[in-house]
Amino acid sequence: MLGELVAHGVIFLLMLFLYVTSMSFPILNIGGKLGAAWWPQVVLGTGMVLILLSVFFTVRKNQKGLSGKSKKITKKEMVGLLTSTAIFVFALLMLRSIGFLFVCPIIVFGFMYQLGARKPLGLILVPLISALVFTVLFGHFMEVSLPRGMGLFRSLTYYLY
Amino acid sequence: MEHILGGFAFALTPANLLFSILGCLTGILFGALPGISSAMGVVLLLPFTYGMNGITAIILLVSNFCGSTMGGSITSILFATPGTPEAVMTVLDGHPMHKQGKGGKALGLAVSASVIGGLFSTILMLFLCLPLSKVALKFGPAEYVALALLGLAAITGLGHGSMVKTLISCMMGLALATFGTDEITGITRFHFNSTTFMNGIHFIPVMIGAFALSEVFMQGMTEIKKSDLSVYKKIKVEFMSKAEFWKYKWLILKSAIIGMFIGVLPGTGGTIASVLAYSEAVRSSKYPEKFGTGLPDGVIAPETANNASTGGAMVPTLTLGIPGSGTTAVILGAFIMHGMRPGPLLFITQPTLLYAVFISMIIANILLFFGGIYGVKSFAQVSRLPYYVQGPMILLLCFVGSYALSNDIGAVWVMLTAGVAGFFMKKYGFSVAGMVLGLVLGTMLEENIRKTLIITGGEWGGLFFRPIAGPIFLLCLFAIAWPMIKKMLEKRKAAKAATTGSTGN
Repeated sequence: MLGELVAHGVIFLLMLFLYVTSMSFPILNIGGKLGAAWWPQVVLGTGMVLILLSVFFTVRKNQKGLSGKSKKITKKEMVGLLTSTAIFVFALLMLRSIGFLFVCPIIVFGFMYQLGARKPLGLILVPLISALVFTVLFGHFMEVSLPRGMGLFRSLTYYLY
Repeated sequence: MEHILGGFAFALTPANLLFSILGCLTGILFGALPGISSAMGVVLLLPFTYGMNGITAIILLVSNFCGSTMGGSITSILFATPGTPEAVMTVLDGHPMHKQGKGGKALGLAVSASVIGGLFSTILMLFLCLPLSKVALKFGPAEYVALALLGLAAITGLGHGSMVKTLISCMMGLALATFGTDEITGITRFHFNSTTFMNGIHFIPVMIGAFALSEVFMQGMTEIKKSDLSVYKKIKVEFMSKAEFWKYKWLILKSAIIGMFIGVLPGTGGTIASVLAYSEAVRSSKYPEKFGTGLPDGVIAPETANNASTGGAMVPTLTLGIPGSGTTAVILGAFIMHGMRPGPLLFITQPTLLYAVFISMIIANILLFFGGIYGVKSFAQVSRLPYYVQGPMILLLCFVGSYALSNDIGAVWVMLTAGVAGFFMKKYGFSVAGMVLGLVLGTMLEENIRKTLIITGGEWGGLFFRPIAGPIFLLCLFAIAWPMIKKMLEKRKAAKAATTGSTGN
């Protein structure tokens, strides 16, 4: 139940933060008092009331012993989530400097390893081939302006797209 | 009639037929690639039409439009990554079907439903395009509010767990939709000095993150047993059988009508059509609680509607010169580029051209069936790969799919955040589908409420008491109240049965 309450708390705080931020929007009176803040405040206000209601139901259910299957996130799941997120965040941070062509193998290698691939040949070939295929397909044929990176990395991409 | 026959003669020349096939096949491919929307697909083909004759160029582009609308469902079902925004609702039941080992059935149903929806709308449009375009003009902001609310009413049936949590999820979606420039006042809301937020949060990165990315994350956390992966190995595409067609006939008919009509309304398009058709399917279903768990109805309804909207979307484009969707806006540009001016005069000056476009769409929809077989089969081969290869490929598709929408790395960050949030939402019983519904319909709802109130000078009555909007609002109320009434009736019935049982004993 604690995890569920924390999730409610996080959503509530985010909504409260947005609500407070919306209070600084300039009020323009067009057709009544419907400025830019009106709708976000209606939605966020309703959302916060609903969260309080949901917390009440969750606690009551728990007291009555009706909460059913435990929704606890295990340590293993947490580690898995953090590792996956870390790989992705690292790749995204590198994107501006090394570009999509070189970030691709990092993502593919990282996740292949995370998902249980252990054969060295596969771990080398699949990331390289997929990086080339995705870059040529989307960058060259589909004309998506994929990030090129900087310096040498940038120059190399011009051979492909 | 002679113009229709003339249209047939134009559309069936070998060159036009060949370009129709080409347009259809490239459309399926573009649609299946996340990040390449229908509009972008048409834009990519546009330079190839410069040297063509005008009608041939339009035939190529509209065939591509039909193909890409269907193609989007392929990656939606296989990887939970919508290839196009129109395939957004197909993920909800299509991917769970795939996970249950019914991916072939889901793909087959998506192709069949798309073909039926597309054919239905284009055939009807041949005869109804003029009167329907007049009805479309009667739709004002109040009617759009009513339509958006009708779409949101589906969440009352979507909650598999707590209704309050589903409503919270919907509020989260509606709140996310308020990011970016406010169309009415021009004020930028919740931008936090980021250009990504200034442009608003698009539902595609959120959807890709919450469904596809969180799925790969979850697989990364659990040990993948060989038996669990057997469902991914072999996919045999099974199309809609005659018995299934009869079983789902009313659902197909309703979804096709919704799709066609929403397509006719300027500024809506296939995404809204598929949301409303899904919503109506949930509302009218005998088992609404099963939606989102891998129900064929959840694939048939949005797929019929989004392809039916293609025929509808061509109506305001051709008869009024107002594009019904982003893709038709590009097609309208192609018309002008080739020296033709769509609008009311087109019926008088070039009626054969008008019918040639619709007939080429009928041909494209028939070709879609055959193209769909090969398209679906070739993509299904990817599912034979082990998950440790498939998973990273899905991630790359997620990456490109989010990035290519606006060439913005910020959208990829949004996708990642949605992926992590989606993981926790699924864990704690919040509804990802509810959030997506809120995000898709949020802007339409807010803008039109405020527009109506500006028109009526702040009078709320002007929103509800209108000849078209009023009945739709009543339908909304019914859609929201019906699940509760149904529960009460069932309880009463059960209580009655229990008392008669005990007295009988």
